[in-house]
Amino acid sequence: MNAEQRRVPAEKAFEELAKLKGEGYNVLVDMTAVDYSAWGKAPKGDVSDAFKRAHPMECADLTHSIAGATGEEYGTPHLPGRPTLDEPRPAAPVSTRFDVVYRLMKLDLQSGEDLGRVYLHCDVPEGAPVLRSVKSLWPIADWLEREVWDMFGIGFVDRPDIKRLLLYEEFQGHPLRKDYPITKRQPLIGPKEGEPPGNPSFNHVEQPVKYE
Amino acid sequence: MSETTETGRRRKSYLLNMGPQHPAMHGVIRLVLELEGERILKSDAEIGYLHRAFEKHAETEPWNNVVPWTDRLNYVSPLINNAGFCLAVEKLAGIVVPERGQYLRMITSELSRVTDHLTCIGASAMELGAFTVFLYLIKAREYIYQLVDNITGARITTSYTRVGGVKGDLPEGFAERTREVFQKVRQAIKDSDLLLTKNRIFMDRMEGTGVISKEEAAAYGITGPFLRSTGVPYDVRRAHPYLLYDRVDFEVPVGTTGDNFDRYLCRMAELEQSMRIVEQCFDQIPAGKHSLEVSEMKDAFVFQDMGKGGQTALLKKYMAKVDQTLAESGRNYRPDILLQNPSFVMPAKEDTYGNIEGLMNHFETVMWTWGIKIPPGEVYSAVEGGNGELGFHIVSSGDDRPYRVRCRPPCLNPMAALEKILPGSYVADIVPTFGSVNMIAGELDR
Repeated sequence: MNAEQRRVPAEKAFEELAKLKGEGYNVLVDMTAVDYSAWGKAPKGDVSDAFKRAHPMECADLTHSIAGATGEEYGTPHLPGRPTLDEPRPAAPVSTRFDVVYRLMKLDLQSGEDLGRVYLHCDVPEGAPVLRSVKSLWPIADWLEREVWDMFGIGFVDRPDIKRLLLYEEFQGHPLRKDYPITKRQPLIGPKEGEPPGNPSFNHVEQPVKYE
Repeated sequence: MSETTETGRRRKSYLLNMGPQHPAMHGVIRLVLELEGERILKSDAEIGYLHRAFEKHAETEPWNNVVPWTDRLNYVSPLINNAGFCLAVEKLAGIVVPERGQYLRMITSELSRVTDHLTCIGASAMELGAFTVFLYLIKAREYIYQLVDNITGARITTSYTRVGGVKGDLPEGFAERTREVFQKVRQAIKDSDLLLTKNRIFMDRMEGTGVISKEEAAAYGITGPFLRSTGVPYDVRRAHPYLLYDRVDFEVPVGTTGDNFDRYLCRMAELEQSMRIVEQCFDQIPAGKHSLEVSEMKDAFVFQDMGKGGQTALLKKYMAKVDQTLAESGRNYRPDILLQNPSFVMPAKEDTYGNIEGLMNHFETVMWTWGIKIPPGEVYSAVEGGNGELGFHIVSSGDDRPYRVRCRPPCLNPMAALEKILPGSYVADIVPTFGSVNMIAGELDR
């Protein structure tokens, strides 16, 4: 699966994506994000010796090339012809917290061939939204952006009232952020005291209505 | 809600919740429909009722422990998910599975695709009233589940692959048994074909409903049989051959109109293609060492007693008599199906129990933070799932566990496209359209 990897600032992502759409990248295969705030930190339950232990793969001299090079995804040096495409992220703190990835494909609708893919990475900081929504370019982005908001809390400038996709509205926090503990509990939701019984969250049986 | 049209007539529409408790919504989807009479004006799908935090969980466990969770993604074709996840990890690690192991992954993937399509066709036919077809096809699926059970030890929660290969080899006589099962499956497909394909009632419900054009399907990122029914022959196995799919001959069936009936025909045709692939794999698969001379084998307890009695020098001569489908067993045939790199795979049980190096190696792979380590980087790898392109985006920070795992669920796209497909049709059309999406909540909600 050959793909060209590009990295653009978040402010310019929409222009770049619109340009790519114009070049014939008609399928938004996937859109997702990665939270790099815990990059380089040891996982829970770490034995520090384990990290000192040299691993043959870690010792390998990873060859980096600059962003924008063509070829396959990150490869390993002992397999020639698979250049590394983006330098591994530096240890924390990184410049921005999130990396949002758009995966585009140029699909030939007659022959069904994949004419090429572009993976567009954007550095997105935490806080006020900077990305623009691309649902006007690919309608599937509507749901994918909702999922990114749901899981990471990454907002979109022109979608101020974006809705969660998988979780419920009362959910507190964004679970795929690295600072969301896996053991965190959520408060129980239900009708609050004094809430009228006609509220949709109230489990009640509608009384028959008289027709006039 | 009511509005006045140009002609002065008052148009009244109302909202209807279809699901999550509706049987045709499989208990996990809510469609909020705006209806005018029985005609749909607007539809909004609400998903997430089966969200199980797959991606979050995957960040907390070592690489191989994620495999059982991938079973639960598309639980109708779990073996494809197993292979998809491990292929992505192996791509990042730059390791290649032995040839026989790759064939085994192909065989199991295609068996899973058959079960997936059989379920989809059977269930959607049942929802339209054809209960006989459902029974025929689910019976055929059960035969294949028995084959899967013979290989993996489980019908659905298979967890068959490991990073670096597969869990165990094929049981003896598997190819012959599969050929017998395929005869029964082909008969069931033929019967169902006779019952459905020219059935007036079935065609009236399926033809011309749920239509989507090529361009719209591409805009929604739809792949798999749903896209192929519109006439785009995109198949990951053909466009980006993974495993050894470039060595087998198969066709990519396509439709023309992109309606429910075409999707049904596409799936029916793909069933045959998948079975063809399995049969070709049996012809091509390099021979594995299935069994040894009895004199070389000892019962496992004898083997263990020898070790305890200090006869360790002799242990290397003998093999333990265990079933070859068991995980981590069988020093003799493991090199055929699993990579022999101690950085990635567990040693054979004979070595774990038989010598100190094997024992140390075993513990190093299972100890917390000592397990297999994948070099830092990021990778996206896709396989053709039952519903389309099943992608795994994996980020590794060099630890013994993933930094991030993202699954691209192929049935999310047609679900999102329902808002485009459904308006204008009737409530009764939802059932065949939703059936042909083959929504699998485990994968959609993750």
